Amino acid sequence: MNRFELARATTTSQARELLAGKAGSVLKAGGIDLVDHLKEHLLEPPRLVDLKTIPGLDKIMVEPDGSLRIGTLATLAKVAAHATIGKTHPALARACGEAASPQVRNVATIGGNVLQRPHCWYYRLESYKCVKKGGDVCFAVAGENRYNVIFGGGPAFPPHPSNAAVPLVAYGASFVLDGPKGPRTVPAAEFFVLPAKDPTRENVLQPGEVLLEIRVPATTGWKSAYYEVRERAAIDWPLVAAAIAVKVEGGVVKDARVVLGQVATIPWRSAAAEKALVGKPLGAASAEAAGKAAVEGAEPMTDNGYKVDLVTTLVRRTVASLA
Amino acid sequence: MAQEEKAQEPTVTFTAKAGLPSAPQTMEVHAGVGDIKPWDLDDWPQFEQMGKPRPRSEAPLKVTGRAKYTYDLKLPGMLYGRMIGAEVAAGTIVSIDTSKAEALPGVKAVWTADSKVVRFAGQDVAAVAAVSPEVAIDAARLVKVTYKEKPFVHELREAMKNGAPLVFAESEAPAGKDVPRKGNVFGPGARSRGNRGDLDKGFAGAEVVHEGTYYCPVHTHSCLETHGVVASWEGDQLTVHASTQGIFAVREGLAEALGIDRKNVRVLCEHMGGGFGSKLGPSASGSAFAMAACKMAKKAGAPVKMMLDRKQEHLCTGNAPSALMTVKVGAKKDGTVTAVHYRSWGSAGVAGGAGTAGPAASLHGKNPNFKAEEYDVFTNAGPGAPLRAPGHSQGAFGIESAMDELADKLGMDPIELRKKNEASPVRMAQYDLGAKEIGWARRNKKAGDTTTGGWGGTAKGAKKRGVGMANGNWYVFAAEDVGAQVKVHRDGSVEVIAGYQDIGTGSRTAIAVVAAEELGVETSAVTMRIGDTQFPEGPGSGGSVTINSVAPVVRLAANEARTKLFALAAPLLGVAPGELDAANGKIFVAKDPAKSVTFKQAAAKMSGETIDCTAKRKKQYETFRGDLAGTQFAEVEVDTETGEVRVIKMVSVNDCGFPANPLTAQNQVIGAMIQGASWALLENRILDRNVGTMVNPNLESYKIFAPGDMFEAKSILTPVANLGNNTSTAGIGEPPIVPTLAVIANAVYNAIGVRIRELPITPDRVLAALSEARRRA
Repeated sequence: MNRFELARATTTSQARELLAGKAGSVLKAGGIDLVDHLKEHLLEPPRLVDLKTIPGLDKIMVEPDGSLRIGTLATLAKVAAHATIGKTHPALARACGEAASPQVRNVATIGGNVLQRPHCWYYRLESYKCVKKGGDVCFAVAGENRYNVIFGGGPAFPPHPSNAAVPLVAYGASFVLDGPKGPRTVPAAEFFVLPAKDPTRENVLQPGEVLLEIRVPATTGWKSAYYEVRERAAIDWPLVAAAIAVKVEGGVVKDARVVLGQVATIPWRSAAAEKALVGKPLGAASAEAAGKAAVEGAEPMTDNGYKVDLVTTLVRRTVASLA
Repeated sequence: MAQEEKAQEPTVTFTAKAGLPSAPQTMEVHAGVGDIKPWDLDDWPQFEQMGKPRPRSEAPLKVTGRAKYTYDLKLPGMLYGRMIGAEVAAGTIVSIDTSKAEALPGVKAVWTADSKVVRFAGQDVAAVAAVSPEVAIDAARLVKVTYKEKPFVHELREAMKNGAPLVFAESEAPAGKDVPRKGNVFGPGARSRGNRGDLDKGFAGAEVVHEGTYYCPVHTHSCLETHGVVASWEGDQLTVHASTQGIFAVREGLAEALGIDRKNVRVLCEHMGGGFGSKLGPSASGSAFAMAACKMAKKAGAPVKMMLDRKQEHLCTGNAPSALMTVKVGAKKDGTVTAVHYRSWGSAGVAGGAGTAGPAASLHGKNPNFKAEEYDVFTNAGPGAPLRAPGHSQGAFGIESAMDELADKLGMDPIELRKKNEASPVRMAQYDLGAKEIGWARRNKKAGDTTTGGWGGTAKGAKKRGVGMANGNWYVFAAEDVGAQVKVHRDGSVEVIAGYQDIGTGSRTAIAVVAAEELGVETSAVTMRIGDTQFPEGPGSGGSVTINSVAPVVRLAANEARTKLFALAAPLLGVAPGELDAANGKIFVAKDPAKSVTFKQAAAKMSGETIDCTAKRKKQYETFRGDLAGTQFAEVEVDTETGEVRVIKMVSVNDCGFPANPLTAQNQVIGAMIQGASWALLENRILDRNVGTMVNPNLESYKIFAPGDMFEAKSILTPVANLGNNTSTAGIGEPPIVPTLAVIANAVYNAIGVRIRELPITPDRVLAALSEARRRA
């Protein structure tokens, strides 16, 4: 492990200054993903700027209108166990509660979860100079791609790793950033970046920017759910995840968001599945139709065709759970 | 090996009551002179210490973190070693430049491997030792190795193809000179698995024939404590703390490699975090890290701690070979098996020894027409190592999946088919015990149709339950060159001193039980001292030999101490020593137990400080059964739309002779079921097909069962007076993992009605199999 200094920030602006003060410095929240990167020499930063020492960044606030302001340092455990979120935003609570292990959830933050780097094994091993690390090959294409993507791939094909991001997109969340050019708020729909645009990143966060807060709109009139399929019963990356939110009026779906996880390079909104739901009563027939529509445009690789079937099943089941 | 008579060893004949308590048989055994009458069925109900469930004595140390593993040791001035493995799968090393590493402040020694031929990624290239683990890691990264790469082959089935890159050149003979060779495929091996009869005749006489091909991927041991040593020198005296299952093998291997006398090497292992067969040698099957540590410690004049990291643990410390098995089995309509043709191709990477025919040969002992052919296939991957009943879990997956398929073709209950062909009276008695416990009657009478099973309301929907079973076998192995020392001190305290190591089974307690039973004291009164080559020689903990090898010699030494104590007690009680017996801390007149003295009162009469009895193990003698019987059951739930498989319950019925401590014996059984179910459903070492290096060398993507995957696990032990040694104990570490892969696969078949012949049974395979079945239908 390369030597680095640990700088403990006490304010956000100080954190930004510390980050800018030494080229290659990185921010540290829970540290789960960061330490993995350090151990495998995927990052060799001269300085870690610790956000954990900034007071107040782990707050979860429920606004009078029912919307949420979740501080970037709120742990997955805290979000999962939050009484209001469990009722108003159950898909988010579940996604946070199903992630990793209890030990990890007690340390990992929601900000870190959203910003963590992909878990494609080629990216995670130093020896593979893959396209995500600035190389020119995605080893998964001709290699071991059973866990890779069926949507949004090219030139890199890693699944977006964040499970929390899947319901956040479904709820239409936005991300509050602070950077050298001042604060800005980016809607979830614009936050994540396809590899075709830039294979070395997954989102629009700029150098020197800090994710401070996640704002999640109220869910009045909406129903939502999140489910996963996993090889291992726990402590496993899902093969497929789905967060679905629907607004039902008079027995008919007025609006729908269908977002898929672990099958695309970003949290993947399925317009076709949403279209299949809107204007229909919520029930077995619309669940079936949404499941089938959700795989429109899927481009499986050599060894991950099963994910197509899993998407169909999981979307159908998740819709059915809301009926 | 155990059954061979030692030449010219004079024998004494004992008559004992052998076998199952429900069907005792009188047996004559020919034990070595000086051995004592074996504990038999008459003794079993009389035991005071044997057969009672007891928590392992070291449990408090382990659960409070006070137990010191090799990983925990820190000696004054100790350096930290780091191995450097090859980054390519095949080729030659052109140069190793260690100059930058040596120049790094804090680096105290560097070692480089002699071999310049690389056959697998992760093979030893060099090592460094430095003042901290961090400096050692930095130094390792500064070692510059240049390779000339060569084509490689990463997988068994690829390696069997014509024109596959050769792992060993035609001029080399990795499997021995006389073994036939075609490319990377060597065999059939000369080892006999009891081939007999006439296959053509057997299949001609069959009314139903099944032939199937089955495949298991490579499984890694994934010991929670990685391989490692702490080596320190004092003059020419070398002390090595090792995470090992064979302290004497470490001593022998290091003494030879370093060219020093064994007397100058002391190896210690107090506690160790799992071996499963991968820690039987001086270092590991694919690394000489311990030797490198010793050499660097000598060079630096400081102790060196060398622990492998998780990635290295996956690459170079052994694995359970992959296996491709083609099984043809024929039977009469009544289920009588008339012929078995078993062929197996296994790959232990760059090593041989990947045979899997053991279970087929053993489970079909009654069948007159049997042929097994075993081939080793070499691949550019780390060498295999024994893994908990080497080759047997894979082999049982082949033969016992095939038997399940045959039962289906015959329209027979799988248990009835097994009973029809059963050679072991012990297993015959086990079937119904297991069937009752798992609820065999609930299984789907028509596989995949849950309305034909006894599931009540849970039969509906995409999640389907099923029940399966399979058999396993193992052997009664024993090491005979084993010693033990029993010391009774003047104050009555007792020590057992024996140079074996506890691989993690809790064998300290099981052995203490044997000494306590013989001496007539409480087990808790016996202090065990083990894991030191300065103690009397002990066996490597492999082949399930530990208790079978050590318990009899401990009993012999304890028996001698007992005799000496009786001589001290007899005058106190005014009787002859031959009239005495001992139990519960008392020595008493057998015919009048009220007349007694305490153990301590007798001990106080000794002249000097200790009664010190050292014994050598006598030869293994005739056993009631040379095989250890086991049968296993599972209930699983399969989501037919997602392919997720969850184990609901497993039941294992096993023979381990007389279980000295049933609690730790059952612990072994339950652990084996977990490890086997994990293997069947998750575990898979994956080498990249284009680069040849492992893509999942960690415990995140090399998936093993986690607490969330845990199921209800039930172990049923069937005590058997197996004789063979004076305690009638037998090992249990390996037998219960033999059937597990097949049990899970058979249960999945019963649930979904589609056979999965390739492991692990992951969602993608389940969905593909179901989809293929729908396409055909």
